[in-house]
Amino acid sequence: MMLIRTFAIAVLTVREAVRSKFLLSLASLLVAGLVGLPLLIAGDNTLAGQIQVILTYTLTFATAILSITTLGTACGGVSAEIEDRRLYLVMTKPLHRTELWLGKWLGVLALNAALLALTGLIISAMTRQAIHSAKDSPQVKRQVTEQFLMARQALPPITPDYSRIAAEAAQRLIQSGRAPAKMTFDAIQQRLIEELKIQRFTIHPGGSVEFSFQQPDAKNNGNDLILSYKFDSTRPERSPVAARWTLGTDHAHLIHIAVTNYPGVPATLAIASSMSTGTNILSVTYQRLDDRSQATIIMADKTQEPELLVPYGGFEMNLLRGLFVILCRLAFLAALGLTFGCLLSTPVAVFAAFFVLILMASAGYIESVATSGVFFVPHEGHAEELTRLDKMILHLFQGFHLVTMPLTRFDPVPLLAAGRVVSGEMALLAFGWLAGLYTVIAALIGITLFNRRELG
Amino acid sequence: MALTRLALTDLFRQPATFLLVLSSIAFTILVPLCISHQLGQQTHLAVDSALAFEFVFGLILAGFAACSTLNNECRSGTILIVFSKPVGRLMFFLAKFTAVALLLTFFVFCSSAAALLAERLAPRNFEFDAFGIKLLLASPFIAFIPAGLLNFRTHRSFVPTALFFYSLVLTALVLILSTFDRDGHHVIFGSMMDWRIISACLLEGFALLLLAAIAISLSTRLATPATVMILLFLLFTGLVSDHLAGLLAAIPSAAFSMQMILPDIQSFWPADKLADGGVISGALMGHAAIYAAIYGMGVLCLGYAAFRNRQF
Amino acid sequence: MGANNGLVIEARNLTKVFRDFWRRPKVCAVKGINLEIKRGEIFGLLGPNGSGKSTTIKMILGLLYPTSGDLTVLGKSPRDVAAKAKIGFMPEESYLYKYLTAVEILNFYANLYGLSGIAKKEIVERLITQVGLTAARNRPIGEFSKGMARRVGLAQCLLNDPDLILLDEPTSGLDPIACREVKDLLLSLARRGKTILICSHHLADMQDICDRVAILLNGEICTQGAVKDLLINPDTLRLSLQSPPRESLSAILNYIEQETGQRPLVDHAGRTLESVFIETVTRRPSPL
Repeated sequence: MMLIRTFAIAVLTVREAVRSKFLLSLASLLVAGLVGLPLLIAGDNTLAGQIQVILTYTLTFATAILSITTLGTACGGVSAEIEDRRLYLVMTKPLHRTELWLGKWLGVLALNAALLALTGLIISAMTRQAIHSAKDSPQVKRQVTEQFLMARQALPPITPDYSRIAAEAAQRLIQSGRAPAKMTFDAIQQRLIEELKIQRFTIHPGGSVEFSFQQPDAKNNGNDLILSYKFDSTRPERSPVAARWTLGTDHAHLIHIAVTNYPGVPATLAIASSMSTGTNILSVTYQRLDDRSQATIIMADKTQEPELLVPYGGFEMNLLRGLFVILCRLAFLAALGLTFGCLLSTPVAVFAAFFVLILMASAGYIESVATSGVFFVPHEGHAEELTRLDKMILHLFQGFHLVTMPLTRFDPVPLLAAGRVVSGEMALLAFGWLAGLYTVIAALIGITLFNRRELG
Repeated sequence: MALTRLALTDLFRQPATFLLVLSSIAFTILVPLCISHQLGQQTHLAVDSALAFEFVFGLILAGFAACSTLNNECRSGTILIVFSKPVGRLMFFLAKFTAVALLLTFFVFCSSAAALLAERLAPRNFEFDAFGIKLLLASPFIAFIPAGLLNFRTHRSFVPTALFFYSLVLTALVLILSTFDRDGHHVIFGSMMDWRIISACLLEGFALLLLAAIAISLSTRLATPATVMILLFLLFTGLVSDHLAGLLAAIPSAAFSMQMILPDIQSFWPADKLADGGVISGALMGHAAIYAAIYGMGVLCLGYAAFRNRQF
Repeated sequence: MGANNGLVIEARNLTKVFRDFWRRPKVCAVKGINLEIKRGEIFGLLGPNGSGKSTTIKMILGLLYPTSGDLTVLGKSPRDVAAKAKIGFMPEESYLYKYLTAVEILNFYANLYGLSGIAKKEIVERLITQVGLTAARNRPIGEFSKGMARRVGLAQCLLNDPDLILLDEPTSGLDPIACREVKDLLLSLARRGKTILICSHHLADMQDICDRVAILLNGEICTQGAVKDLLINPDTLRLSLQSPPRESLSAILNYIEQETGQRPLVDHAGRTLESVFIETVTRRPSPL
């Protein structure tokens, strides 16, 4: 019985959206945006750039538009019906307010699922068509297909056992009496670990660095591996750096590839599938070929080390998982909108919901404040002291961060745009966190308060 | 006149108006405070973001107010009662536009004060204006507590009273901070303020009035979400009109049509003109005002044509 | 049935106070009313605007919550969802989804009552026919006239074969024929043991169909009782007969005057405008 009633509300929500031409308008807007944006925005005149524009902008556009409309629809779904009193009649039927809430939520979700399916179809068709109709050589087309139209798993380089190396070095320092007197063993070890990390990624002119990757067990089916890397210069000028990659398995160096890259610009290196042989360790060495007048470069920072991108699956399945994660985000937004709509009048509910949307859009900033602890710059002479106001604001931001964390954690757009895999695990976690826990919390708050609300 | 007053009173009593105006002020003042320590752009960023917030929030307010005062009345049927009185459609339509325009004028006034404060309070060399920030933090309490008390004692509506009081407090804050430096020492009036911001806000105000004309015309047929969406689209296309013109250069007729139809939002965007110590000249203001008036009147004519033929 | 001692609605000291933002009493819409409505009864709630009729109905429906006092509907709390399965409500305005057709909207409400399959289809079809919307069954509600929308409102109210029917201005917006049909329908429902609570300004209608009425004023019940008892004037008698010859009438009047010492008033028995309208309109076929 409960299912019938909930389903009836969901069907009503969808039917209203269809009949009022809301769905059609939104679908038209989506199609116009998805098709029009790549035409408006110029890439770097390469096929790879064009595909990146298509994937990045269309997915961002679709996510933004659907987020806004989901919030608006969900807010109005209840509050507008209270205002024009349609809900009075509905609530005189044997209908729990939980069923009403759930039915509305499912209805909004069904609309979003349909629109996301449309988005997926258009993006898939546009990327395939763009590659197919490009005038580039088949080799370039194959490279672009390898890079973008394939889900790739990013493998980090094998990390040396910093603790062991640092412990041995610290032991040697203490034994030789060269260790600072006041420093404990642990402090020396910690300092050495930091230095080792810096040394590992710092490459002086003429110097080199070697990374090792553990290749996955699965066969690659003839698909290339891709080495993705980026470095920064210690000097402000951004002159190109000439270098040579040497690739090999189990230290049997086989191939040398000369490259020239600019600091701060992400670069990739295709590695032929023949290099991938079962469970071998793949070693790659970056040897700088420039003279000593050049700047020292840093191959990675703490967030981005070189990565080996190995084939994981097809593009369409990856896109599907990505869209599912977006649907989970929209499920949470719908829950949030409905909760606001249950408590507030339509304009105020929309306003409150959009405040949350702005908060979500500022998730990066919130995270930086919450984790770095920097909001107001401490006054000179009190570098480590935080005022009471600073602490209050930090606590506030940490609270915001708690809310926005899963949303930033489950953002599939950068992954899809870079041809990275949106893993099944990520999709499941997104479902659990966003469509599960967060939605349930929003629902519990919304339904509890809605039950207390009079509809007079 | 009575229609305008009634519509304006209704608009000022809407909680959404209150929230939109206050949010615009809050974002204008607080965003530079929050992010300047990361970007280090400081006063330049404060002015740019203030002008951007005025544009976006003003546009949403225009769309909301127009639909609230016209489209909602059409849909709820209250318009039938008005038309049963000796009130012509033209008079009704213009009265509604005047009410929205007056609301936006009030909004521009508040935004100008907020922008002046944002520029003054923005950190310089990563140092905050502690004196100004303390006054700013106290300002909502100074405005809202009396409004709350008035509501408690006399049942006077809280929303318009609070909004009115807050606009007064903001003005007082601008005047106070004009006479004191960042350490709280007395200085020559106005020497600590960048008064060019007022003309910049005024320039944007013309654009908002133009957008109000578009909004009221759209609201004769469309509801709030559609109206606001179209306004945002016009704002976006207006801001990238040069790029669009470049894309359409191969089809001169299309480029010409686009320039004729889309409002020239770029000529109202003052941030570039203020960069590097520039000022907004009287000629530019006059040109913008004339453009806004002519374009606005044209749009209002179309809007009235749509309204005149509408059946209820 | 689930009612207490045959009482379908029982209110004891029912009070509803609306408060302002500061939680201060703003309006006392209902002031400690006592109400007992029995099974099979047609009960009328009368009163001027703002007298508390709608507030009382909303409390009975569980849309508003009483500030104090006890209220049971079909032996349960009005907020109990199970009780609503036995209640039908027709609001004063047709608060319906304008993009749905009459059939769709009835199907939707039928789903909320848990009806499905053939049973649902049969009930919906029967009600569509009963309220005279067969020709307009697939038109969106937004295109309906007020009267047609009211018919949909009446149909949705009867979907669950309710034990208790609440009607807010049931004849408002209906033409006199439909009005008569609604009144006949309500009388037949009452004969089937349904309890009906009507809230209306149409005193003539209320007089036609109500067994008992209560008159509300400023949130309080001023008068309550059986319609017959309230309308009767025990000091006056009315004698009706087919118009007799002039001589006979004169003799009758003289006799009465002689016996009682009072000269009786004589006039022609009047017809109501309703009866004239129904007679005129029923001669022509309905365009609907």
